[in-house]
Amino acid sequence: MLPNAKTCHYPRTPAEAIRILKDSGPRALILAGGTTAALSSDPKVEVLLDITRLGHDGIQAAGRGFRIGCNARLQEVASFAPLRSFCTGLVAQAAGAVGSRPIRNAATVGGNAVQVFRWSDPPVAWLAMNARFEIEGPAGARTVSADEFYARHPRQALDGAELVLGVHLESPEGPHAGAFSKLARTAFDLAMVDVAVLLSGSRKSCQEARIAIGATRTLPWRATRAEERLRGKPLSAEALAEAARLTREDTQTAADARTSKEHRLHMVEVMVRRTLERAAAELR
Amino acid sequence: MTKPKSFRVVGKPVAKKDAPALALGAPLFCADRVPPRCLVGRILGSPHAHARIRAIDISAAEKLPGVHAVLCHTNVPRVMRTTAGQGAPEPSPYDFTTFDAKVRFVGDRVAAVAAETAAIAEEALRAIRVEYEVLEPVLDPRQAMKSGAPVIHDEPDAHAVIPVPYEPQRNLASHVDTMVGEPDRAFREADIVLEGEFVTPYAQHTPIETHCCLAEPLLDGRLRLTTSTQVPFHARRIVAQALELPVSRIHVVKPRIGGGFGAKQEVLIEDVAALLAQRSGRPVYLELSRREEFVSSRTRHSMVVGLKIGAQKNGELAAVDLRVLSNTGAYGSHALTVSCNCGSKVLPLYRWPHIRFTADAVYTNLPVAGAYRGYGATQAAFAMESLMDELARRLGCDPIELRLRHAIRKGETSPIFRALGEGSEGVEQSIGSTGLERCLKLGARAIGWKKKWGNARWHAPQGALRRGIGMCALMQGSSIPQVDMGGAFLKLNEDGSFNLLVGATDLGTGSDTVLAQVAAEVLGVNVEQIVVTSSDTDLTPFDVGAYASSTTYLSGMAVRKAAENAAAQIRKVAARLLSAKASEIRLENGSAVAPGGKSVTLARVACHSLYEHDQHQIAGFASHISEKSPPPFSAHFAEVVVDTETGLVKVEKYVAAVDCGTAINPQLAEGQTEGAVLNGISYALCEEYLFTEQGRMRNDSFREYKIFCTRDVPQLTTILVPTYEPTGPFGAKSVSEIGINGPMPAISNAIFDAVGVRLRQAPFTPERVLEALRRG
Amino acid sequence: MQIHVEVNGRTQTFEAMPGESLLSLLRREGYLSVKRGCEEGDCGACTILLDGRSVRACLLLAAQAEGRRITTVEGLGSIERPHPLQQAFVDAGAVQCGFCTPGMILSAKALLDETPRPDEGQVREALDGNLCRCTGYKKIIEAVLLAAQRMKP
Repeated sequence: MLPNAKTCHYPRTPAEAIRILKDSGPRALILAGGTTAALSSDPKVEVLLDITRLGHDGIQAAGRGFRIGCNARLQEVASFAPLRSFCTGLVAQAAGAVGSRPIRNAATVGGNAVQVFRWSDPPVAWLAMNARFEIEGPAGARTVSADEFYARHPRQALDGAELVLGVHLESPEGPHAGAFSKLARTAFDLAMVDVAVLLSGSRKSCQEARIAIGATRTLPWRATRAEERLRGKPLSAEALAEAARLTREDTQTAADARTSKEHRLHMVEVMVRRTLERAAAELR
Repeated sequence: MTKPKSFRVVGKPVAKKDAPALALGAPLFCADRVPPRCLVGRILGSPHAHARIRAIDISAAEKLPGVHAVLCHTNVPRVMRTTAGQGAPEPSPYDFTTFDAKVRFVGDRVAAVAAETAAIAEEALRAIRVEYEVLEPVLDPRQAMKSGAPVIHDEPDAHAVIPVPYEPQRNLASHVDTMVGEPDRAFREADIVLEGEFVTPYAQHTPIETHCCLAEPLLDGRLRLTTSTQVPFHARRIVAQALELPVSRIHVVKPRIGGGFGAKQEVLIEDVAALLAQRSGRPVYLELSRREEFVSSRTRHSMVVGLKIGAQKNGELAAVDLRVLSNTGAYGSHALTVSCNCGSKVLPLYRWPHIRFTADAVYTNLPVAGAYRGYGATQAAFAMESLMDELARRLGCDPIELRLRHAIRKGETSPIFRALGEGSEGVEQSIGSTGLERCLKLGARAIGWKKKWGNARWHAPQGALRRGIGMCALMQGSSIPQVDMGGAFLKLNEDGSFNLLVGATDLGTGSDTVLAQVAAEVLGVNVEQIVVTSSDTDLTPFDVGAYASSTTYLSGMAVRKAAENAAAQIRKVAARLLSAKASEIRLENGSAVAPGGKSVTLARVACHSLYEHDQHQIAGFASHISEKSPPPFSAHFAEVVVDTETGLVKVEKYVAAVDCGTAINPQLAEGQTEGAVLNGISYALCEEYLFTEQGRMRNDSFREYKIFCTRDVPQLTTILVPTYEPTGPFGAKSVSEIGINGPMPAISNAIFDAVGVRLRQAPFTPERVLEALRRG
Repeated sequence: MQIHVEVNGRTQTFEAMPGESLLSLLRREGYLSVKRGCEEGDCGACTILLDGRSVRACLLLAAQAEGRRITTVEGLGSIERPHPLQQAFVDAGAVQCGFCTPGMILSAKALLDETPRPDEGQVREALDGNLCRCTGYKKIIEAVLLAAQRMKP
């Protein structure tokens, strides 16, 4: 219950939305899927802004990849057939890992990307894919890479009146394969550990490796030392295991109600190794 | 009673009477009955695990516009009692009053308000000023028993109402011990002695509907409580006690309720709702939030169960020693009786010549335990069935064979039946029916036991994955003998239909339907001809309520007797109409039939008796009390895959074969079993309360306290194994509780079979499994 | 503010607070089949269909329903003419306490509208956000498969 919300706007264009955001400042709350907003009781909020009617709700093929509109629902991403094979289904799997069906039916790609929680699954995939976020605001349009977008909390990356309008995905040139893994207690649970990897090249010689980890700290992060360990090298069992060990060493985490710190660290290593093995198996 | 050749209505999967309306989403629950302009009730919970209320100021809350009543310990009479919905005098200690000057767990009641909206009610709670003297909490039951530990119930008026040990100054809420034979000598002489300590967590029922109650002052000055309860008659008595009113001033109605599982065998919020309605003169609706449900309602007693068993090399059983330490939390609700059940529902399963049983239930500053499906048998069966598995391995025999050899048989008794009752001595009984042997054989076949047990190829590792198979045997009871009572009333209408009025409480189990089937079977009519009204303290006869696996067995027998009583009256009228002897008339297909085939419809019989000759209401009434508590028996089988790198245990297949006597409604009996089993699997693998060092629950939401969803369900097979229990209605025994006791031991045994380590602390989380693997 | 919605085929105008949940609005307006089980998006008892998709009414603000099409279980069938899913839930023994039933049926309806002949895995996935503590889900899954079979074109 937002006790002081008085009005709700339904902008039809991004420009209209940006104008209202600019005028209302911190009194405004953006509603996309609304799954987070509905649980808020923030007394500052007076103006609601339902952005689900300003378009940008489809998924289109573009170049070596796709553009996913900010208003696409996570369930659409999870079940969109071309995405289920794109990069071995990495993105579709991450979207399908979120909560349960009714949550995926409500939550949008844009809302989920910005309103990121420690356990959010899709941002891990965006990071592994090095997705580009299409942002529009009072000062015009810009694109930001996932690396930059998740370097700090995305809401800080956005100026108050900016909107994410879409996510651009592009597969690496040449042979590549991805994989996503979520570890949780039950099928409908928040992640204990998320791992997304994207490998290019061949098993004999890895050209590029991107390894993204979620649920261990506030924001998803990339295991760059592990990536470097694989770059230009054969994807042998030892190499993958060592990359997993390096990832574990670089993991900062803490205990929570789901698991202890030690166990989560151990799981990071196991899950990274297994996810790398799955992706590597897809390469020639 | 002897078994009839065949049944017409009993044993058929008749559709549940309330299912069509529920599937349509009809407004049948408490929350759906809230009248317009009803006040909203809210409870202020304690932020401290242990504190004295030095001062409380409710004046600011009372002055808020829209606030109609504020309650706290300074303005509500102190009446010591229990919240446990049990027969009077209750075996649970009187250690609770509506509001106290002391709080004993985080979430304990401090005050309550009724206001025109939820927002005003919440503002009123914030306006209540409380000055606490924070006391040292005690969270560990072992610490609680040590001398010098903080005393949780230091109030002088806490007392036991039946003659049982009760020592609140030592934080001891109950103590039971009993001995059969000479266990010490038997252990000394045993070839094999196995011992273990088994730890089960705080866990919760989590009915999808939380506790809720609508209290309405009536024009005649009475109070009507429409409440989500398993025990409407106990609720009436306990609310009357709390408000110091005669029971005649209280009317309790149970509408459809959204699950109970024991949580609603507790008169938990009715007292507050009633007081708020009484003080404000307005209807008040009080519903717990999900967080309050987790923290402030009831839980399963967390236990440390120490078990020692002795046997000879030839497989003879020598002795058993079962020691229970039960954590009852801040109040002693069901403390004694759950402890007793640890022994009484587990020890008689095998023919132990020498037995020792001791159980202490201890107060701590943690959430309050209570009744939960399984009721102590769940915790003790984990210990017993784990050690029996170990014993089978030590003896080098198949664990099924070990159970077959030692399980109690038909016609046999156990000294435990007499020794352990519900807080007092028990009742001697011999086993009138058991299908355990068939449960073991059919269950083993269904899971493919012969092909898998001991088969190295089936067990061959696949990467980090290991497969295993495990089993267990179980028993429970059916009602509390010589304690529980149910009544039934049945009258005939002009169209040949009947009104069946029962105090019995359908909490989603389908008891209204089952009881209608029993009546229909006696009266030779279809279930549709039986209109059931249940659980209304103004209209229906008394019944203790839905607990102790009693409804089908006990209330069903009351219905059968009431129906037979009505049938006799029908025969008498029909005899006149048919010029036949009453004793020769059969009731079938809605008619009374004389030996020659001449018949008269029940509608005709009804009209004759109501309007034409010797006018009277044909009506049957009976009450029933059982002299026995015949155990249902069951065998459970689990097939698991253990991931040795992540510790994740996946139950792939699960088989539960259960002997519940005659399944009056097989579909509902299966449903009871499936629900209990999945709850048990979820409990075994992931359900557990976590607390901070200050005693606050850390995972008080479905987000953090996970229960299984559709994608977690293993391949689940239920096998009903029919037997005929002579003392039950048409041979029926109970079915609702037993199923929850199996998963913990069956899965633990399967894990051992897969990876060779014993999990003795539940739930078997990945972390615990890995830790066990590391220890080896 | 005023909210214009179509509920179960009828155009309606409701007076709502923009910041209240759709769950609270629907229950106040008499759609009592939408159950309140946790109000945190975890139990699924308040599942409704919004433009044909299963969503949680407790995780939507009333204002978000503006101009949308809502289906609650009241809109599916009547006692004389139950929806095949409702009948299948009765026949398969999938209703115990019945508190989760409306949400389950709506999640199942959204599935069958999109996938008329689902396999068991698809049923499990579509219902994974609806918690039930009574049934162990087995008869619920069977009921959905039974309804699909009966509804086959």
